[in-house]
Amino acid sequence: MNKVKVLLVDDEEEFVSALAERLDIRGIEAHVATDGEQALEMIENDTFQVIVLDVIMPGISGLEVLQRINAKQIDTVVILLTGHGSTKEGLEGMRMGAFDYLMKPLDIDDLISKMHEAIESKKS
Amino acid sequence: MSGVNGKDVQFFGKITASMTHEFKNVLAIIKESAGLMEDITKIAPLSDSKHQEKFDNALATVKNQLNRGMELSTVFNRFAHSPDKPQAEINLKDLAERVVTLSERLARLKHITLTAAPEDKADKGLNITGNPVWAQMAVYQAIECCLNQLSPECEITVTSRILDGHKGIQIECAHLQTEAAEFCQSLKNAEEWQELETVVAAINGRVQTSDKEPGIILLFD
Repeated sequence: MNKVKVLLVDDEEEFVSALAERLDIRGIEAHVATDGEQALEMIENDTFQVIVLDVIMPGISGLEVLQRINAKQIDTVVILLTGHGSTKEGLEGMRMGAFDYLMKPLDIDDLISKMHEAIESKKS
Repeated sequence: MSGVNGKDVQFFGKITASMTHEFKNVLAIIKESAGLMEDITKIAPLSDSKHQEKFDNALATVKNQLNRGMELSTVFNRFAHSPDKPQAEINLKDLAERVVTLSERLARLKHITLTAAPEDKADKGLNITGNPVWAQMAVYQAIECCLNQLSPECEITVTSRILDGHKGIQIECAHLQTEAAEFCQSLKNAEEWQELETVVAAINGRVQTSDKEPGIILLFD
């Protein structure tokens, strides 16, 4: 079975790199981008089954990255990360086509099961 | 009750809310880093089992404090967002629980146990419309008024419920060192009482004491 390949996008580098290592330990190939521009560049040049995208980032916001992914019809699913006061943005993202949103700090098992759900949803 | 049409309170709320998001980011980094340490030690345990046990205990403490930090941060974030709207629907159970969390430290310093009523005792469906900042101030000041009159080792329970046919919040004090009537009189004589009445009146409520279940009752129309 192929490894699940995900892109984690969050401007908090220490958060996203620790999360990537934890996913790697669990057999998930995790790549990291620390801003929207870098994420879009990586998405152009590589294929990710899931993109985990922080909603609020300096520069291009998570919702704008989502908009550009939609505009380019990139074959992936997006899970948004929000703070507890950003539920509105999470719901807005779902209206824009994101699979779901999770609140930070997150539970790694919840994230992994959400990733699998997202991948399954794309198949059906 | 605040300057420049409440703009000062809104400013404090805005900055505080923004900072609580930063706290959450800090907690998220600590959580993932602690999680990574746990993952690594599961793959490659320390050779000395005593060291492993100490490591596990330290990690468990970090996790417990993270949960505490997240709870506090969530409550503080909601508190910070309360000046967003001058009038809003307020759920009395949420209000009681939030203010209890915000007041726990004050109670702990006085060696008094402060708790929100357990799930089955509180009425979940009671909502009022009013200024969320004033509503929190009212409950906080009622708790503070009780704390100032109580001796260490007493207990305070805060409950949302229907009282005398009105939606209300009851601040009930237990294990008193004095008679209930005397305690209630001391509440009314306290410096804070008048201010408490003013704040409660500002959200169309009234405040009274109860001898039967000693403490303060806030009633809303």
